[in-house]
Amino acid sequence: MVALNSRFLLGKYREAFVVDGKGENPIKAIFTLMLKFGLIDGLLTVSKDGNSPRLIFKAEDVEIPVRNSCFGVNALLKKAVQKYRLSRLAVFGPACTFDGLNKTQYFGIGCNWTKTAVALKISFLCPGVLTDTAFLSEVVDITGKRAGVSRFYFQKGKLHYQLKTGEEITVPPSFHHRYVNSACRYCLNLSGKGTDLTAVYLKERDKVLLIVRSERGLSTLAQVQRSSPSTLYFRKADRKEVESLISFLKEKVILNITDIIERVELGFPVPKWNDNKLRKFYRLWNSIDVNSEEEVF
Amino acid sequence: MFYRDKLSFEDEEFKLKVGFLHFSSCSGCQVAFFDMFEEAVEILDTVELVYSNMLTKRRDLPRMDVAFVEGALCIEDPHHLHLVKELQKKAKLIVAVGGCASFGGVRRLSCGNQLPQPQHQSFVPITEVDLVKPKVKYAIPGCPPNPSLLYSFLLALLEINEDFLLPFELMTFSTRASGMDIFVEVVNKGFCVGCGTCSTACPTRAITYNYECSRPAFNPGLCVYCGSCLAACPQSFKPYPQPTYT
Amino acid sequence: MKKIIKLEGIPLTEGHSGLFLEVEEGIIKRGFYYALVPVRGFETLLLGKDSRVAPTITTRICGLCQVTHAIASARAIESAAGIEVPPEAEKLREVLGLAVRIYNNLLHQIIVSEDLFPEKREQLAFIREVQGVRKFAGTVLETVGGEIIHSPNVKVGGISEPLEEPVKEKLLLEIDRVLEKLKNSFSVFRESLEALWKREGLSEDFGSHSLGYFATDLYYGKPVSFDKFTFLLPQELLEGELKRRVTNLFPLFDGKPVETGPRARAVLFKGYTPRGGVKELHLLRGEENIEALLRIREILENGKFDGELWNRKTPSSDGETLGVGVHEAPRGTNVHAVKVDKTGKIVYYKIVVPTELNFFAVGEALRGISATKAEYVVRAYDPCIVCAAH
Repeated sequence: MVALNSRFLLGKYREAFVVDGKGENPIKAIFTLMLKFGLIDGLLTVSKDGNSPRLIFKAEDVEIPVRNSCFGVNALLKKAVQKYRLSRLAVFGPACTFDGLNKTQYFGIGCNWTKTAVALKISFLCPGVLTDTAFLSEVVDITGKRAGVSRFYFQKGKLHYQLKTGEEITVPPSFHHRYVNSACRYCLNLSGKGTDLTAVYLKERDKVLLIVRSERGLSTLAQVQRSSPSTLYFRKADRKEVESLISFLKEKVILNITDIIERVELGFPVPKWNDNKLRKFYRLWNSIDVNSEEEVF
Repeated sequence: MFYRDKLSFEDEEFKLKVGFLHFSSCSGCQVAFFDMFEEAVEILDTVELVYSNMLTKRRDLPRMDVAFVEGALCIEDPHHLHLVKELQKKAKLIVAVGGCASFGGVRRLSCGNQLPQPQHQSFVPITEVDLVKPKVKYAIPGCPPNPSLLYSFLLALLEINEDFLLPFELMTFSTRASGMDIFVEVVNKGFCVGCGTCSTACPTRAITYNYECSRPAFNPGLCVYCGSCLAACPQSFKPYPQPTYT
Repeated sequence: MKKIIKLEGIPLTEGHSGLFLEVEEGIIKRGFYYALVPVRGFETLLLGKDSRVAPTITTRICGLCQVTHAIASARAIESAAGIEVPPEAEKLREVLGLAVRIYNNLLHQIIVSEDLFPEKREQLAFIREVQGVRKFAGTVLETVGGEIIHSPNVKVGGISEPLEEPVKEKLLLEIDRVLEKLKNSFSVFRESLEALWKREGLSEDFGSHSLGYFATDLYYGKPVSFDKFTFLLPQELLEGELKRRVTNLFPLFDGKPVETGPRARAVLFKGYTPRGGVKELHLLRGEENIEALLRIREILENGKFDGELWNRKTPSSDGETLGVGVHEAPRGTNVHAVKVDKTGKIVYYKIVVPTELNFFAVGEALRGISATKAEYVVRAYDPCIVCAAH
């Protein structure tokens, strides 16, 4: 059964911190420090605008996406593992990236020895991703003006965009829901369960809400903190901050579930909550239960 | 359990009898087992390899618990017809390894008419052979499957990790695979998140990534029908035990 | 007393093959070695396909020496369509070819280790040592070629991925350690080979023949005239049901059967004087591994491969020009010949693989030895049957 509680929406987590990077994006700072101190040997993510995947080896080259646009991260996975032979890779992206990565690690399909190659997984809380064209049409829909989006953040349970013009707008979930990538309308893992850390962008550019899920995530933060004590400042997030987040997630997930139910009505395959499979798996790959009645002419 | 029917689990002496045989294939899948390198030696030590044309001196097919089979069966080759009957009698469980055995693979392209035996033209994956079909329990996609996938698979088979093995069981019911699956089953159904895992999984780079639309781009000419892409896609089947939705 | 022995399935070799032996008093008077795996029809299935896919498809002829087919195929199309390849790409392809030579020759050592080591424990120790070296060869294949088996990076016109300096340095760092390991395992191999020869009572010239040698280059491959190849059908050569079962052609070079492989390369390009017999095949193969590793180091140390290595010109030709691509595979000279039409489609494809060439050599080498020892001769040639019946 699905219940829209914190456990389902946000997943299991140990701690939630508000991290202050003192003028710098804390996630960027974490990766920069980790590369500088050799805690990781590569960072797999996308460019700042989210349009093309990046494989970063040097601390000074670190860039991370600040828009909710993030595509093709795993397209470089094989190169990272098989060509550059990275063994302590860090990955940053939305939840779906990690669905792919975790599956590759668990089964090994497609990419050799990924299982032992990844040292840190950080996801960002994703309200659904958009391409450049989708951003444009969405912004025109909301504001009536053509403008590019430079970053997104959450404030008091609402999604906001900062436009390239400097203007900041609130994005209503019902509008947003119509412009996101289709698969994001059926996504039930917005918060990136299955990672070490989840970052939630906040209004201030240099602050994020960091949800720590795993022991590895916690110890990595401790290591970063030890190696450079005055770069990041941690404060335990208060309940209100987490709850406003949950209220946003709830609003979005209800929209998603409505869409999924519509699919059920039409007989389309539905996404993988519980053990549901796609059509090919559902019908062909899983045709053990097909009722074969004999035809009588 | 299927291959341990007469032995108790506590039996310390139990060694899984494993055979490796091939129909019409390039032997690459068998070589991929060696490409676990040092780990392959450990596995050779834990299981009993009873048949392999490369590693054992046997000429006849012995009884075995698990037969790893690569390659597609050539209908025109009497030896293959004999072999598949033997396989049906001697193996308790069959694992189709790689694209050719599971989904036809590059053998799907064969059209015969080549000297010296122009009649050799019809190749079927063993998942399509009804005689052995009930025993073909798992199909492993890939051309060839990754050594790490084979390693994880072998471990799961030894530990009977049902959670791991289930998707491979389902794959035996699919006799067709191609890069088009990604479009038919994922992109067309509105499930593509644009993560790029399929393009990473493609062994021939027939699937690349279209950065403009953030979708896979498929070049059918390069596809060898190995089934890696859909199997790797995070949207295709319940991926891994880590995040739960309940 | 004369009798005919037919063996089917030669253990400890790749693929399904057979031997036809005419035996008198236990001694082989005439022998044929042949393939029994079905013909997969790579020459015909490529017809009508875009020539750019040929390296990807042909590499799937063989899972042991995969990349040599991709290289030979790419070179054949380049020569047919007059595409210039960046010299660095050719160098990287040579590296790939040499890596697969090590990778594959060592696999052969693993396969024959069942013969060499009566003690299971020793055998596993040997395999472990050899796998350490194969792992490095696999790393080279994976880094430069994209995958260990069936490298997708070999393209018509070059190599699709550059090899950046830091990645190259990483590979170079490992070579010394690997070289040490390779030398160690080779000396173990040599000792146990001598022991096997003693144990089985085999003479030094066991399995010798008087055929000529054929090779084009020590490491990479130089063009040959494809007209010099003629082919005998099994239907012309063999008797009885074998006519309908044998699946390989028997190629002749200049109208004569030849031997190709490590010995041919040594004789033609290193001034080696053959002692005859199959024991030296094992040893020359082992020496080639060391030379190949040194050559890989030489190429990597002296070259820069971080630029564009791929001439992306669309192949197109008149449909008449025969392009020949040659690569010195682990087992000998691998030749692909192709004709490409104006739209870039393949209109003719022909493949001659080393094992095909060596079928006659194996047959000749069998002459005069005891029928019970025939398999040692076959194994020494490291036949790749799937290649032969491509």
